Formats: sequence, structure tokens, C-alpha cells
Amino acid sequence: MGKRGLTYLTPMVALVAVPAFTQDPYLLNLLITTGIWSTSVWGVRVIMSTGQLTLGHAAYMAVGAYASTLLTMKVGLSFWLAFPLAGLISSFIALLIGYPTLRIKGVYFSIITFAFAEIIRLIIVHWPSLLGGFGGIANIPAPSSIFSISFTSRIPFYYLILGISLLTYLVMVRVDKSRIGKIFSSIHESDTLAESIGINIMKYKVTAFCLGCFFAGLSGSFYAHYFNFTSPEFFTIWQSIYCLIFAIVGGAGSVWGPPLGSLFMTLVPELLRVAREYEPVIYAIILILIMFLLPGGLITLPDRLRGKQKKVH
Amino acid sequence: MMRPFRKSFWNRVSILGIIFVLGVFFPPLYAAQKEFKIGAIFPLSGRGATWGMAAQKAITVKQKEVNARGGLKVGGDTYKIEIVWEDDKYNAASGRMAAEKLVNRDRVKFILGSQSSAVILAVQPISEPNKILFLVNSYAKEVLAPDKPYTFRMVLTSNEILQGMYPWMTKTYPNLKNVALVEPNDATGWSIEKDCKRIAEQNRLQIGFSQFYERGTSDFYPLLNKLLVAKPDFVDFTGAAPGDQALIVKQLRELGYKGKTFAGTTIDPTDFCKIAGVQNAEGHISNTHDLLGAYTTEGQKKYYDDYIAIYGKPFDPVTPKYHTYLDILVQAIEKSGSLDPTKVKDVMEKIDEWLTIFGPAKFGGKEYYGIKRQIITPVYISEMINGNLVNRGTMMPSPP
Amino acid sequence: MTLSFFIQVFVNGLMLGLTYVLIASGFSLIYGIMRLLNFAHGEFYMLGAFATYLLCEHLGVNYFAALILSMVIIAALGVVVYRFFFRPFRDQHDPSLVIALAIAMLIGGLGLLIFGEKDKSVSPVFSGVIKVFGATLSQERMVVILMAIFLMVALTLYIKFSKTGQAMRAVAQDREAAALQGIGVDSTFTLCMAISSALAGAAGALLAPLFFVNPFLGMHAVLKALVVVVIGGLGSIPGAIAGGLLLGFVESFGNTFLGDITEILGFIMVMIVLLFRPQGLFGHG
Repeated sequence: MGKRGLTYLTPMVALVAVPAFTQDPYLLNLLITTGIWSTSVWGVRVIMSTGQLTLGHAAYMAVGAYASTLLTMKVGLSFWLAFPLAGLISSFIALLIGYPTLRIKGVYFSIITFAFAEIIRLIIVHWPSLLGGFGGIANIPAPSSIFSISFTSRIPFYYLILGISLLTYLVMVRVDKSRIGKIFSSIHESDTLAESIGINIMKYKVTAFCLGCFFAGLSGSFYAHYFNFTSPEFFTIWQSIYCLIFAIVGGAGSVWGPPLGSLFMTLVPELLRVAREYEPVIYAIILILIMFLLPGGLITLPDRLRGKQKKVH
Repeated sequence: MMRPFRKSFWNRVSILGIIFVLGVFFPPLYAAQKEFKIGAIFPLSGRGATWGMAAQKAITVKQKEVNARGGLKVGGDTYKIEIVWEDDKYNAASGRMAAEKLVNRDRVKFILGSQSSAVILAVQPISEPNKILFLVNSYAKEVLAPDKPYTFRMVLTSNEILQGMYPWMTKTYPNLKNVALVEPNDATGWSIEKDCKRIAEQNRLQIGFSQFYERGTSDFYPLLNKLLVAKPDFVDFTGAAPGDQALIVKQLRELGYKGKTFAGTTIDPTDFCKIAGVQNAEGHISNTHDLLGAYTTEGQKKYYDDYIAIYGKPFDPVTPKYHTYLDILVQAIEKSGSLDPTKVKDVMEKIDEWLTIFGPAKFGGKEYYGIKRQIITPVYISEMINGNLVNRGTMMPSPP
Repeated sequence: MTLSFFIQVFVNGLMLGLTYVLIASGFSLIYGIMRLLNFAHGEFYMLGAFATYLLCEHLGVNYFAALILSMVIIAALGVVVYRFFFRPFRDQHDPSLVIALAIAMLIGGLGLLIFGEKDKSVSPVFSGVIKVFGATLSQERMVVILMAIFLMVALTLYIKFSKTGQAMRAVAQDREAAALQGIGVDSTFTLCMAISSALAGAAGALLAPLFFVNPFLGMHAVLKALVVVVIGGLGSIPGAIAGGLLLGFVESFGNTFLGDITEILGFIMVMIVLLFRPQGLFGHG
């Protein structure tokens, strides 16, 4: 990370210092929600970086949420063990699904991810004895105390998700800069070309997919323990679509896209509460405007202001 | 890697953004004038909007009535009731976010809420620890529990309704032996199906058929094809959406079904007959009643007039049952002489009889739910004759 | 279980299948020619139903005239949506996905605002039932079946034999080559959008008197359309027909014999098709 990393110190310090200025639980909830989505959407982005659009990301969040819930409530593990396990279980399922499906390209892959997501949701619904059915599972315990910090107020949750987001960010930056990241984008550009120079594209596509779903699992696990409640309704096709929209609206071209998209799309419905019944319509209009004005996503805002046109895939 | 312009651009944007967000979201510092804010979380868009908007209408009728007579009388003061309406879009995540805003930003201490059990279950982790009185609807049993003392259910569920209606059915039609159940594949449908099975068996009825349909289905022929093989004496589709109910009735009759159709829920007879066809709907039994008919009271007549004064014709017969939300809350607050939700909750626990537009009502459910939080109001039964609701009976369900 | 019971299962499947075909054919057409997953397609279906409702119930127009008018209105709407919202993003894959979704949200939201949340009904034109080899079919369903078959035959003939239909197939196969041959890609797309929307509008108009009309019809419709065209083959009209009928028969069979597990069957079929023959039954790789 080195010297350049320090230039991002300002926003980091600001985020860390927020609870010093305000403990408003509503504001903290918005930031925490943004953090949850950012983590998940970073996952979407890394999958998109190999040229695959996933329409089923919420299913992997669901796997993480339910895995973590069952591990803490039925198996008795501590959250701190269940949390990373949830991520691993998600990425394991991604591995099982990824191998047969990732050789399928383009829109067909997107549809299969969507079909699989629905199947996962229906499995959750039709297994009420274990997974709570439609009613979901309530009274999920908060993370157990660590370093003598107990999770009774919102502030520890805030710092936890901040830490998780930071971890995800660092991983994504590393991946982007590394050889693996460059291979991902070469596959995105032209997988036949990449194959012709000897790259095993399946291996890299599956890696990206599993990595992306790992973070989806983590975000799902946090979600369950923060809300104390999980239900199949949290993880519908619309949630998956939102994950994708957040990624595209933020801008898939940069590692800052996911948090920017998540922040923006979390704030917009809150700010639109005043619009009452017009909120769904205005939300749609805002999406359309962003696509017209900033097809590369919100991260291209400074470029567009300077009159630069970015080539968009 | 960001070039200098972009970096300073984003620095500036972040600083502006933080100032903006803190400014917009910092809690307002003005003191509430003699105004009493209640929160309300209902499905106001998307699927479920029919019920959400029906509740909104009924609650607004009561709100205007109270404000017209000066407001809520607490201690020596009067307070105008202000309701902050939030849309839960019939999903738990939006409902939770709405509750966050109501509790932490609007600082309400009372919330009227949703028809979706998932929303309520997602909101309770915030409302219960913060001792916020949460008056709800929904069908799931888990919503009421001994560890959730601040949640009260203000509308009858299928558990209570069917305990009134099934015995009436077996008494009025003594040859009934066999019932078929049709429910949507969602939380409400599953809850109701459990109740139907249990209460049918209590009334010595056999379940000849029970199947869930995928939400969004309009063509029930495949399901009904199988249902008719069981030759049910009556078909119960309590959990189905109103439009679906009308379609099920229509398609049952097209396929030659001659038995009774039944739903333990309220319908709008005009819409129902338009979709089902007047002849097909003939004899349908439901938990609606003609507000101005045989079981009318002064309260119901007044509600009807107030409704028409605000919303004009036609009258929506699905709305009256939501009147209890605000009606009882107002009574409880005025009886307790306090705006403290704990004191109001205590009053609601203690008082044995409430006056509603349907006559006397009380809270029950200690045995079934573990806590006395379920309202018990009269169950009405009507039959559709020639496009009109004809009242057939009323009873108070015995609180389980 | 008697013979008429099984014939009823078959007839139910046919009816269900043809409704899916009606809704999916336009969706398939747009994907085949424009390479766009038009999520707003379901909303056009919903608007077709509402157009018929307004024309019949509020303006007293004859049902068949309303059917044709609805198709025309929705076709015009489709062209407007294409010109202003889809065309600017024709070559941008990710933004066009978001735009299609946003248009779907927009139309759905506007529908709720304008029409309200209550279920509306269109007075049926045909009443009574007929018996087909012992199975029961209401007269209105019979009419829908015949109209659906008529529309599909007309569509297939059009695509196969008319000049503009052939132009569409050329553009679907290879956009650049078609352009080099002098085929106007933009005008082809516009026509395709118009036809597709007209089909969605027709589906809405035909099914409105059978069922009910509300602003929430769109989402369910477009998800079914997606399943159908994936099974049948994205971009193929015979595929949409085959896929729709297959889904209809599977659901009829499933709901009659297997119960509520049927909901998952459609998605399992999608997974199987995509894993073993991603181009669908009739699609071209």
C-alpha cells in the first residue's frame, strides 16, 4: 500500500471518528447498512471483473446469513468463528455451482445465477424445521463480547463493519493490482485471447466467483447478527438485482465503485421518504438519470465534469 | 491510482457529503408542540398495498375524528394526533429501515404496524428493547410472545376468526364433512393453513385436500382439477389475496363445483362479484359484514358517515376492522392519563373491556400465545346473495 | 381418476402454456434481435390490460376494438421507450440492463400511482363453458386459445416471409453484415420493439377479462417470460412457443400431481437447460 495508501487516510480517519461526533443510532444504522452492502457489492465487482454478471448474489448472502445463524444458535459456536466459516461455506457452495456454470457465458450465466438464487430461496422456505421457513429465524444473538467490548449498543457494530469493509477493500485493492487481477481483466476483455496465451480461464473465473461469494457470505452473516433476525424475504431476486445495480451505479471500473454505489443507493430511499407514495417512481428516475449522465458510474463524476468521455463496456 | 485532480475532487466531495449527511440527518432540535406523534409502518406500495391503504384510511378516519374534537386529552392538556406514515413495501428490510427512522429520528414511542409478519418480527428487536408500544396486525403466531410485552395485535387472525366461523358452518350445514384448503405459498398462507387444519379437526371436519399455490398465479385450473377429485363439501381459501379469491370462486364454478365457497377474511362485494361473476359468487361465505345491516351499531354508522365525508363513495368494507388500531390506543392513553408507553401498556393489560365500533372487545390469548395481547372482537359471517352481503351471524370467539 | 381428468390436465396445460407463449414471444423477439433483456416487458403486458380496462369499462368501447387499440397504444409506447431510453445505450451492456430495470420500476410505480392498488375487472364478453372430450373449458378461455394460436401463426409467417421480417432475422444473425447489406438497423429495432410491445399488449388485453387487472401484474409476467425463453431458446419464436407450452404442461401436471413443489420445477428446468443446452431447445448457440 505504501505512500499512496496514506492519501486515503482522510476519509478513513473521518469514518473512524464519526461516533465521536454523533451517536445517533439512525445515522449509524445507515452507515452500517452501507457497509454491509459495500462488502457484498465488492464481491459482485470482482465477479464482474472476469466478465460475468451475477444475478444471484443475494443467495450467497443468504447462505452466509443462515450458516452463521445455525452455527451460533444450533452448534453453539461463537460469532467470531461462525463469521469466517459463513464466508467459507458461501464460497464452497459457489465452488460447487461455479464449476459447471462458469463455462457458460454472458446472459446465460446471469440467468443461471438467478435460477440458482431462486432455488436456494425455495430450499430455505421449504425446510422450516431447520431454516425457519417464511417466518425466518428470530432472536439471533449479537456477536459475543471481544476484548471486553460487548455488542449491546450500535457503536461496536459500526466499528466491526468498518473493519470488515476495510479488510474487503484491502483485499480488492490487492487483487486489482496483482497478477491475478490483471488476468481477470484480460479474461474480461477477451477470454478466447486469454486462453490462447495459455491461461486456464476456468480456474480464474471460479476463483473470482468464489472470492466474490466469500464476501457475500460475510456480509450475510453480519446482517443476520446485526438485525437479530433473518428470513428468506431478505434475499430475494430483488436484493440480487440491487447488488448489481449498486455495482453498476457506483462504477465497476474502480474499487471505490461499490462503496460509493452502496452509499448513494442507501441514502436515496431515505432522503426520498418525504416523497411518500412517489418514492418508487423518483427512485427509478434517479437510476435512469445516472445511467444517462454517468454510464460509467458515480466514480466517473470528476472525469465527466472535466469533459472527458470514458469508454464504457 | 488517482491523479491529483480526482483525489482532491473526492476529498472535497467527501467533506461536503459528510456535512450534508450530518446536517440532514442530525435529529431535529425543536421541542414538540402540543402534538403527539405516532409512527405507522404499512405496505403502501407494491403487493400488499390494498391492505396497507385500507388500514391507512380507517386510521385516518379516527385521527380526524379525535383532532376535530380538539385532540387527545392527557392530564390537563390536549394533543393533536400526528401520524408519520412509512412504507414497508411488504418486505422486512424496508420495514426495519422504516422503524429505524421512526424510532431514532422521529422519536416516536408508539408505532402502528404492518400486515406482514416478517416486517413485525424484524422490527421487534428495535421496538421491544426501546419499550415502544407496537400495535400490529399479521397472521403469524410468533408475533405475540411473553418476551414481547409491548406488542399487541389489534385485528383478529385466522385463529380467532375460524374458531367462530367453522362451528357456525357445521351447525348451519350439518352435512358438511370434508373441506379443501387452498392457500398462497407465503408466510400468511402457511400460518392460515395451520390454523385451518387445526380448527377443522377440532370441529370434526376432514381435510380432503390442501395445497399451496405460487403467488401471482391467476389460472387455478390445474390445482382445482385435483381439488375436485376430493369432492369437498366446502373450499376454504382464507389466505388468498382478494383478487385471487374471486378467481378461485369463478374457476371453481366453471369447473362445475357445486359446494360452498368460504374465506375467513373481509372482501369488497362489488369488486369480488365483478371479477368472479355475480352468479358464481352466489352463496360465498366470508367474514365481511354490511356495516349498516343487521349488526350495525351507532359506532359503525358514524364510521360509515365519517368515511364517506373524507373519501367519498364507494365505501370500502375492508377498512372498518382497522379502526381498532387508533380507537383503542386513544382510549388507552386517555385512561392512563399518560403518554408513557409503559403506563399505556399497563392500562391495556389491566382493562377488561374496551368499547369499539363493533361493540365490546377485550384482549385475550393467554393460553394460545402465552400472553394476553390478542384483541377479541366480534366475528361476522355473511353470505353473498345476488351480489349483496347478507349478514348471517355474529359471535365472539372464545379467547384461547 | 378418469380419462376426462387427464384430458383436463392436458387442456389446462395447453391454456396455461399459450398464455405463457403470448407473454414470452415478444420478450424473445427483443432479445433475439436487439440482444436486450427487456425487463419492462411485463409492464407492457400490465399496461395492455389497463388500456383494455379503460377502453371497455370507462369509455364503453367494444372489446375487440379495445383489443386492437390496446395493441396499437402499447406498440406506440414501446417505440417511445426504445427511442428515448433503450437506443442511447444500444451498445452498452451494463447500463442497458440498469435502464431496462429502471423503466420496469418506473412504469410499475406510475401504474400504482395512477390506477390505485385495487383489483379491476373487465367485463367478460363470453360466458358459459364447453366440454372438450369430457374436459371443461370456459368459452372465454377457448377464445384466448384461438387468438393466441392465430397471433403466433401470424407472427411466425411474418418473420419467415415478409421483407421486414427477414430483415429482422438478418439483424439478429449478424448486425454488421445486415447493416452492410443496407438494412436499417435502427428502423428494424424500432419495428421489433413495436411488434414485441404489441404482443405484450395483446396478452394483457386477452387475459384481462379472464382474470383481473392491477399494477402488480408485470413482475410475475416477466419472470415467467424469462423462464420460457431460456428453455425455448433466447431469440427464437418457435422456441418461445415450445418453451411456453412445455412450461404450461409441466406446471399443469405439477400442480395437479406434485403439489406446491411445482414452483421450483420451472427453475430446475432452467438450470438443466442452461447446463446441458444453453441455447435452449430451439436456439442457435
